[in-house]
Amino acid sequence: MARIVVDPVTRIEGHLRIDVEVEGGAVTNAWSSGQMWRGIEVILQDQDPRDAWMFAQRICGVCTTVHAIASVRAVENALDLAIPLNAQYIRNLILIGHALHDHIVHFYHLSALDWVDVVSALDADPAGASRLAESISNWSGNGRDAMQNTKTKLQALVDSGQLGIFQNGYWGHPAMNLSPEANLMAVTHYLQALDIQRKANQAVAVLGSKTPHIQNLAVGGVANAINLDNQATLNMTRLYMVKDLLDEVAEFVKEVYLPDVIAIGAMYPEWLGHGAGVTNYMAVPDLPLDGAGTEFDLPGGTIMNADLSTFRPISAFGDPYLRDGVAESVAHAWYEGSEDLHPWEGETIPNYTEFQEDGKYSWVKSPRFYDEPVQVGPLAQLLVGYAQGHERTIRGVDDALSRASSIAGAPLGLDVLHSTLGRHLSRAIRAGMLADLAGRHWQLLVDNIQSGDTTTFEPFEFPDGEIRGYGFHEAPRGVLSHWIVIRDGLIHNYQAVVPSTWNAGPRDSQSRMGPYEASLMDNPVADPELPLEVLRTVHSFDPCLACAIHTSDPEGRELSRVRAL
Amino acid sequence: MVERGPEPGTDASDPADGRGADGRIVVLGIGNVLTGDDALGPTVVTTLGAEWQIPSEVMVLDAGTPGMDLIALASGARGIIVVDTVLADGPPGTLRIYDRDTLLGKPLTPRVNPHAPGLIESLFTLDLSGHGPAAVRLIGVVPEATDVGVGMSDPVTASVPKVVDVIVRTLEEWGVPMAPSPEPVKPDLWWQVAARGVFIEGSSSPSRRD
Repeated sequence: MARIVVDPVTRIEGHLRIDVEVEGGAVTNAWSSGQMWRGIEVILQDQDPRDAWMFAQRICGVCTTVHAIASVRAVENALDLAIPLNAQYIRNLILIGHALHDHIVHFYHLSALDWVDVVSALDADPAGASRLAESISNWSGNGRDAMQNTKTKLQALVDSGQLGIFQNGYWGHPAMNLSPEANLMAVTHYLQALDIQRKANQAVAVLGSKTPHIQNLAVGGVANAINLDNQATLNMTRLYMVKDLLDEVAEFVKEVYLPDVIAIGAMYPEWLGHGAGVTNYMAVPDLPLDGAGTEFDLPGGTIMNADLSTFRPISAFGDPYLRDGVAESVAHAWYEGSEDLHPWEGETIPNYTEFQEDGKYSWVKSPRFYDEPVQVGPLAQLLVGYAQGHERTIRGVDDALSRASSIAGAPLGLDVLHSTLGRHLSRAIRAGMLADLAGRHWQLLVDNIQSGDTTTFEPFEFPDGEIRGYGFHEAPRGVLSHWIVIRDGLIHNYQAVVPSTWNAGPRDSQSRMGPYEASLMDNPVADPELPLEVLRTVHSFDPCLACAIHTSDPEGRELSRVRAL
Repeated sequence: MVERGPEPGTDASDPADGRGADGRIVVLGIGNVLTGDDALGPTVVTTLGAEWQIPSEVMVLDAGTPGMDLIALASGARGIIVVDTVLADGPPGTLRIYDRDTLLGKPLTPRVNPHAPGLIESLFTLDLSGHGPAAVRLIGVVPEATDVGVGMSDPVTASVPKVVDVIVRTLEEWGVPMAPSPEPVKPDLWWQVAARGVFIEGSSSPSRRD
């Protein structure tokens, strides 16, 4: 038996550590450990609730926008405050731009090298790569010249002896099985995606004043002033700038990202069978269509045990089904306490013990929903939408599965989504839905402004005494919720239950595994020295735990290591 | 209760920020303001913006901890100056300066977490895409402690004016004339309102505050 520790804790901060035991070429046990205490909860105590979002967006440098939005929604929920329609639509456009950026970067720049063998692309025939690409999409960047150009750049890198970013890849690994032409196509799209993700980021910056930390939020609405005739405010010029940028991003999503993931899914059919793990799913509705958050363009709810007939909706901001169902276990996490606590009663009292595989081994708590572990993320959102009969979701899922089936030459049904590559495919399908919704919410905003409504902010006052609220957002990684208790206008308690907490949490008080852990069970591992398959499954969740802290390492000390014991 | 909603017309949107870095020099303060000395980068760039006139060809940004999102922030820039805490020898507060060749001369190691810091990876990727900056300078400061909590140690706080000075000299070296602001203001280090000591065993190194 081999013990593999994927453990980058040699740095002064901590992040995700994955331990697996491998026997007979497959994973027989797994532990997921967050190696960094987050502590936002302690920092926010006694602060002004109107400032909480500014701090919250510093929790994570990559997920800034999503924490900001969940925070203002939490305070607004406590105040029972509806916000102006313009504010809702502007927030929605920012969320769409952020999510598209995040999904594209996650696939191409953070996980494609789990599937794409860069060095193999050097053996590709550029004309063949072009023919392959043109067979799956109408993208203008699929020509022979584009493929040849990529090959030339790659060859120059190899000749220089410095593969740079691609050094991270496991090229030549036996689990890599795309053709050289498919690899060259994917690397070409990797490079093109760099320009596109920048455009998504720019759209967010125009509306939010800046990225990565948007400046335009406020409890009660947004700070954007709208005056179509004033150059200093949000006007038609800027709105068209946003539209042009989002249109370009949308085209890339539908003509490149989605077709690529469908093709890779069809070319690695075995990975539509590994990595299911926890098959209870939860998503929250998002992209509200009214000021109070009772109607949405993206569906929310739960299904249990992969059974669509168990669907229950989460349908409005403040929904009691979600509000009353969350409790966090610290049985295996480095905190004091023995009972599972609701976030409003949540405590964050550290109790560090070293890594004990049968005891405490993570800084991440284990949230449970009515006592059950649940998986969150784009896969969860598609499944609850499908179960609910949500038309846009059904169309997106059916279309992608039918295209994947024809490439694979075998029928692929909804069941294949419960898998490692199913999570990637779900993310791409969701991105396709968001690409359509970008245009819709842009039009809703413009129509509302042209009807004469320029309001962007709803005034409010904090009452004396205690109020409580929670805000949710279906973030790129899934259900994000912020929970707040306000006393006499100051924060008395604050808890953030983040998507990676639901997915990456350790075992709970009944010793049941979290989704990362469960999904690794039975994964094949061809070579324990190069556990590519473990990374494939962990990366499919789009893990994000490490961002709370950052220190550059210019002298090349060890950033991470993979060791077999 | 004081109203503190947004005031009409105070929206600070600058379409230039949506345009990207095209041809400009980008000064990025990297780090997390919620984790002790890691606030160095944001503190330095905020101080620079408060004390110096920033020419239009320079974009100064508190970039937080962007990981590979650095690509979007630096793409198309003529030069980038990055301020961050660094893992390096020397007592807390020591300045270390690295240029392009040093940063890109080391092989990269595998990342398990795709959001691990990505300065060097981002530079490689930008080069490959053809949008890499010609000039790169990382101005690093050795931290004393980066625990969860707001507030920097004395030696790192003392390094802030020195780092600002290195940025100004670097910009001048790269052909950008710099002048102090005629009306310098106090830097808006808004996060310091939450300053208090927090010590977490096992999460990081020992605390150094109060």
